[in-house]
Amino acid sequence: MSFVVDIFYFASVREAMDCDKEKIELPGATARISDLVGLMAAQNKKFLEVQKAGVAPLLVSVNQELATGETAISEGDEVAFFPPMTGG
Amino acid sequence: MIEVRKHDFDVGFEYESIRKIAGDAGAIVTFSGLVREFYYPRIESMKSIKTLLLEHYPGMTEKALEKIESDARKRWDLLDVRIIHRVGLLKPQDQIVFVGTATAHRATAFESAVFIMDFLKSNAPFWKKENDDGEGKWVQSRDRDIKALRRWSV
Repeated sequence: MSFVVDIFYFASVREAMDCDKEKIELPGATARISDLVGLMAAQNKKFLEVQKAGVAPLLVSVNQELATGETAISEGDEVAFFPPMTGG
Repeated sequence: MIEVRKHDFDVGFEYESIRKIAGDAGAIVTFSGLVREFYYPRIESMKSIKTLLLEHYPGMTEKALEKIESDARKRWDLLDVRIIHRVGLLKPQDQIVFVGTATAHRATAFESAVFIMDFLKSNAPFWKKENDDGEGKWVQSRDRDIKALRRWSV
């Protein structure tokens, strides 16, 4: 059993990943963001570098709401990774 | 009212729109944020920027601005609120953001405009990239902007 989520990257994260969006498949029916991050770091060297690098934390959202490692995800969810915001 | 858009705004037009909607307002405060040519004027080696790219997260950015407006309305009795934030490629002296608030009295109009800008700086998904003649550089979020949120006891 598995499920698929849509991943979006923004700003310097998008540049480091050389990708603005992709789909990722995870085992089971649900998972936490920390599981997704672990899977992505294992599968993709660029993501591992993004995680390790940078003076600022990597932020994550699920369905357009800020999330944490504990946030649950399931089929069809929209996940995004981005640096701290610099609006205004 | 919140809007994320590419095209420029006219402060006079927005002010008059607020004035029409606000009814019995005693005070209207407007703020505009502009693109500066030099972000770090004390560093001599800093080149002037040629363009500023404003990136955003369509959908989430609008929701974040709506929440900022809604939070401001919960704190104060606001007769009208207008937030416009531009995205895309801008250049020095271009207008980036407009905030307008209308209230019965001036203290509230000023305070609510500051509140909205403080949250807009750190809590709305926008990212800025400065470009001079060489490679572009993403602007880092500043401690002072994050600390500014503390004064609102959040």
